Amino acid sequence: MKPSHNRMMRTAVLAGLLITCGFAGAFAQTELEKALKQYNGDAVTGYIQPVADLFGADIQAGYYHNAAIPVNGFSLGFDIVVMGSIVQDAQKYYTANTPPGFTPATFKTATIFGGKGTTILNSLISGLQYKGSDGIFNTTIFPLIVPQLRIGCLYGSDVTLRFITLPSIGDNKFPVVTLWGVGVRHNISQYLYNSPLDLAVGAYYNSFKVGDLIDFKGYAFNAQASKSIKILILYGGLAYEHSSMNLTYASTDPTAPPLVDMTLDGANKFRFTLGVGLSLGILKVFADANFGSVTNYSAGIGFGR
Amino acid sequence: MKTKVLLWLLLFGVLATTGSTCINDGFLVAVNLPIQACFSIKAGSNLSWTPSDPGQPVVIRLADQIDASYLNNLKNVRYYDLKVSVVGTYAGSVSGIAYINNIPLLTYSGQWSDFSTPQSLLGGSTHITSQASGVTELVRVLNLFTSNSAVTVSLSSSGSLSGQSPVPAGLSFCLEIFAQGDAEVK
Repeated sequence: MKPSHNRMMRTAVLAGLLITCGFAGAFAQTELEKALKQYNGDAVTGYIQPVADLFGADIQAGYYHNAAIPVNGFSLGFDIVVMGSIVQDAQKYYTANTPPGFTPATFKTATIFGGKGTTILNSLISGLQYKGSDGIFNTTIFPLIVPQLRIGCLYGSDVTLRFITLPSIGDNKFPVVTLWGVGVRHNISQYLYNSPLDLAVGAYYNSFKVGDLIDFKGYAFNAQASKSIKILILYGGLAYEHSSMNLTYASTDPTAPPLVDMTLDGANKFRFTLGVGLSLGILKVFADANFGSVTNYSAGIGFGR
Repeated sequence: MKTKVLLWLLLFGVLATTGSTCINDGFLVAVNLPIQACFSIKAGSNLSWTPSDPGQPVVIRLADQIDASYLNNLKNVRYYDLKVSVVGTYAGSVSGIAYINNIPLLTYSGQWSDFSTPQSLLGGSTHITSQASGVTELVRVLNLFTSNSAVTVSLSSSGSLSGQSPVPAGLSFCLEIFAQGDAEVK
């Protein structure tokens, strides 16, 4: 590696560390967390399920943008990846239960991504009303950003580490988030004679904590392929993935048991990735689309080899 | 090189902070506002009790029932159920009146064991009947809470037992009002 490249790498890695560490902080309970506590375990499911689906898809995105892994030799890369999952119209409303005995027994109201919560009148006893909370997010794409470090290579394998902690946003409406993940890839093309594509397989694990109440875990296994044409890199892959969101809090709903401790699975199980990148020496630029139950996009910039 | 790093720091900063722009301004959270009181029934030969008995009325400050940050941001408050239940075992029947601010809110009547399972307005219980004057008072107090966080309600009850005598120790009569308020989060 040239001396100028060494300086660049050091600067980039230092910048990444400063960024990730600089956002660490402690905050009081946020509006999101206080809003969730108004729901019992049954009711919160529909309200927050889209978060499980969208964050679940986000945390698995952007790990690779090239399947070429040297068999041996030191390799270091630093990426900043932005990913976002598309919020579909169907994720803005859900069918909620009214309190036991209420007529009607269900009503359609806003999820966390919806608009105004619905007020429902009891059709048998006049004067009795019940209401769902309004949505908190007004967005068509649910974003996330994470820096990651890729270190290799040993016997055609490399390791990717990602970590970020982001501050509370929106005047303490959304809590501090902390994400970390680790992935291991292995070069498969080295075992194939004259393979036209670079091929690799990877395994990934992610943990993502949102405030004190929400805890995501996810893992993925994928097969990756890429083809370099001068500075252009075309890449893609197929993945099996699983994500789950655990919610733990004390509900204030007097009609249900106070302790809520539940796990919601993310919708995405399989992911098909198509991407394109540019390799400009030590600088890489990449973008990909991920298709599955949740449509997700990721893009970023990388430094290194 | 420095320029590139600075550009990326700037991009990162923008991405990390623009999340706040997608949060709805002034969204309403449906906040639970439970109002509940239990009244002990004195053991002994007296089979009835009144709002002037020791331990009555129970005065509840509504502001204590919700997160303090929601106070002064409530837009609407409504009730969606009334429930009556008992604690303890008694062989016989019970009947009486539950009051809010000394105004009858509901009447109740039935076997004591009927109330071991909470009897609710929503559940269509035949053992309780809401009273228009008390409901009007409840609605008035709840509406007042949107503009006055110091509002209190006074809950009390009267009643009489029929059957087992003397009255065993450990009996209580409980009244629950289930309400919700819309707290605006700016």
